[in-house]
Amino acid sequence: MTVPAWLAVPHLAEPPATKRVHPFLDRTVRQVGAVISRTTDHSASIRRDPRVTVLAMVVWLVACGLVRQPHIMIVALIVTFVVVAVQGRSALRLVGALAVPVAVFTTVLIAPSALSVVRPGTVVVTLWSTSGAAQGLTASGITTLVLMVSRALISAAVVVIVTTSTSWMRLMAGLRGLGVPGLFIEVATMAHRYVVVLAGTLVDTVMARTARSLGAVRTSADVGFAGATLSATYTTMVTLADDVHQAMVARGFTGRLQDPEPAPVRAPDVAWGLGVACAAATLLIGDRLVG
Amino acid sequence: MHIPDGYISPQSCVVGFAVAVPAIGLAVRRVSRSAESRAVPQLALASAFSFLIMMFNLPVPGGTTAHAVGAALIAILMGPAAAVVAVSVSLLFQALLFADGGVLAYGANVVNMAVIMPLVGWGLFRLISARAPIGSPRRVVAATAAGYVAMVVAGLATGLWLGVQPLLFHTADGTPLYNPYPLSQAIPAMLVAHMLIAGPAEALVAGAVVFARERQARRELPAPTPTWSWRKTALVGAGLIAATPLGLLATGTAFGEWSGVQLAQRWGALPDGFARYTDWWPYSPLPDYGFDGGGYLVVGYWISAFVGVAVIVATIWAAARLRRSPSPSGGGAATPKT
Repeated sequence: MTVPAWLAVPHLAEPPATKRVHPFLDRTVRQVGAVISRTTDHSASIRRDPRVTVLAMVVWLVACGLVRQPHIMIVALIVTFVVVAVQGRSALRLVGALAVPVAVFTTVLIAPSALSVVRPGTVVVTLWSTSGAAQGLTASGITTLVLMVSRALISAAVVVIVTTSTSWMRLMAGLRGLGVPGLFIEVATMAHRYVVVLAGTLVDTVMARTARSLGAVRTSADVGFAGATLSATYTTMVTLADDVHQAMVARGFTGRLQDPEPAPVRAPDVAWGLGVACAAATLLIGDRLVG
Repeated sequence: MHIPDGYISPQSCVVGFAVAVPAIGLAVRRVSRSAESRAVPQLALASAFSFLIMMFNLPVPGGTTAHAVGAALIAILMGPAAAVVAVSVSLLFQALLFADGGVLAYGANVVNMAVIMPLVGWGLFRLISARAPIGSPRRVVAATAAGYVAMVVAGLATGLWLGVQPLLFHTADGTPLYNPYPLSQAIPAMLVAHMLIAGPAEALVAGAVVFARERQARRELPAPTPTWSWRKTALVGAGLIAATPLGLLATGTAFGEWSGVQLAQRWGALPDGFARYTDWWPYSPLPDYGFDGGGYLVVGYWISAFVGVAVIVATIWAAARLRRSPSPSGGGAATPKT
C-alpha cells in the first residue's frame, strides 16, 4: 500500500504569532503583576514609629512644596536621594522604576510651558528665531520645569522611603494614631490584602483569554473583553465580601472596631522626626535667604 | 486625573484636605450607621475593585494613559457614602504604594474622584433611572450616562485645581511656582482627555457591570409590571400646558428671533435676503403662539401648547402603529395600569 500524496506532505501547525497578540491585556497583566509584587513585599524592616514617619513625610513634602529657588530644590532632591540610597539597593531600584516615568511624564507635560511662544519671557536658550526675535526656552519656564520635576521626584522618593521602611499594617496603625477614623483604617487594611486576591482572579481570566487566542487581536476587542471581565470580577467581589463577612462573624466580629493601645513614641524616633523638621526648616530658611 | 505632588501648592493641598477629611468622616459615619458589620468587608473589596479598575490603562494620544475609576459604579451599586470611602482607600493605596497621585495632593484627588464623581454619578443615575424597575434597560442607560458625566465633571474639577495655580501662586516676576498652565489651557486639556477617553472608559465600566447585574436580575425576578399610567402622564402634561403662559413674563424678543420690523429698528436697515424671505410662509394658524390680532395672549399660549402636544402625540402614535408588525398570536404589549 502506498502512502497517498496528501499524507506524504508534512502538515505543520501554524506557528504562533511572535508579536504580542493582546497588547492591551498584556500591558494590563504586567501592571497587575507589579501591583501584586508591590503589595506582597514584606521587606520593610525599620521599627520606626509610624506616626513619626507619616508626620516627617508630610513636613518634608510641605517644605519642598514651599521652596521657590531651583538651586535649593536640587539640594533637597539630592538629600532625599541620599536617604533613599541609605535605605538600600531595593529602595534605589524602586525609586529608579518610579522616578523615570514620573520625570518623563512631568517633563513632557510642563516643557511646552517653558517655550517663549507658550509663555512669553526672557529667552535664555534660543531654539529658533521669528522676525528677528529669538524664541526658545525662557528663564521662568526653566525655573518652573526644574521646580516641578524635582518636586515630583522627591514625592516619589519619599513614598519609596516610607513604604520600604514601614509595612502597610504599621503605616495604617500610624494613621489611626493620628486620628484617621477606625472604619477607614480597617477597610484600608483589609483591602490591601484582598487586592491580591482580586488581582489574581483578574490575571487568571486575562491569561485564559490570551491562552485561547491565536493571531493578533485588536485593542478594541480587548477593551470589550476587559469590560466583561470587570463584570465577572465584580460578581466575585460581592461573593467574596459575603464569605469574608460570614468568616469574620464566625470568629466573633460584631462590627465594633477596637483600637489597640498605641505604643509610646520612643526617644530615637522623636529625635529622627525632629531631625527631619530641622532639615526642612533649614531648607526653607536657605530658600528665603537665596531668594 | 491624579494630581501629582508639585502641581498644586501646599496651600491648595490644605484646602483639599479641608474638604476631603469632613467628607470622608461623614461618609464613614453614614456607612457605620447603615450596614454595621457587613460594611467593612464590603467596602474593603469595593476598594480593591476600584483599585483594579484603575489598572486598566487606555492609551491617550500624547503618550499618556487614562483609566476608569469605578467611583460612579460603586456609588450606583452601594450608595455614595460607600463609594466615598472605597475610592478614598483606593487612592490612598495609589499615593502611598505607587506614587500615583501625590501624598500632599491626596486631599484634592479625594475631592475630585472620591467625592465629586460618586455624588454626580449617583445623582444622575437616580435622575435618569427614576423608578425604572429592576431589570429595566433604562437603568443600564442611566448607569452608562452617569459614569460618563461623572468622569467629565471630575476632569473639569481637576482642570480648575490646576488652572488656578498660576493665578494665585507665582513669584514677583510672574514665574509660576506650580502648574504653569492657566485656566484657559488646563480646563480644555482636561475636558478633551476626559470626554474622549476617560469618560467612555468609565461609562463602559459602569454600563457593563450594571448590564450584567440587570440581566441576572431579569432572569431571577418575574417580568416587571409597567408602573407608568396614562392618567399621570396626562395630568403632568396638562400642568405643563397650563404653565406655558409664564413665558409671557419675559419681555422682549429672544436673540436671533427678531421680526423684519424689529431688525430694521435695531440695525437701521434690513438685509435683502431677509426682506425677501421673512414672510414667505404666511399660513401659520397660530403665529407667535397667539392670534392674528395679538389679543388673548394667555389663551393663545394654551391653545398653541395643546395643539402642539396633540400633533406630536398623534405623529408618534401613527409612526408606532406603522412600525409595529401584527403579532401571530394577536397579543400585544402589556397595557399600562391607569
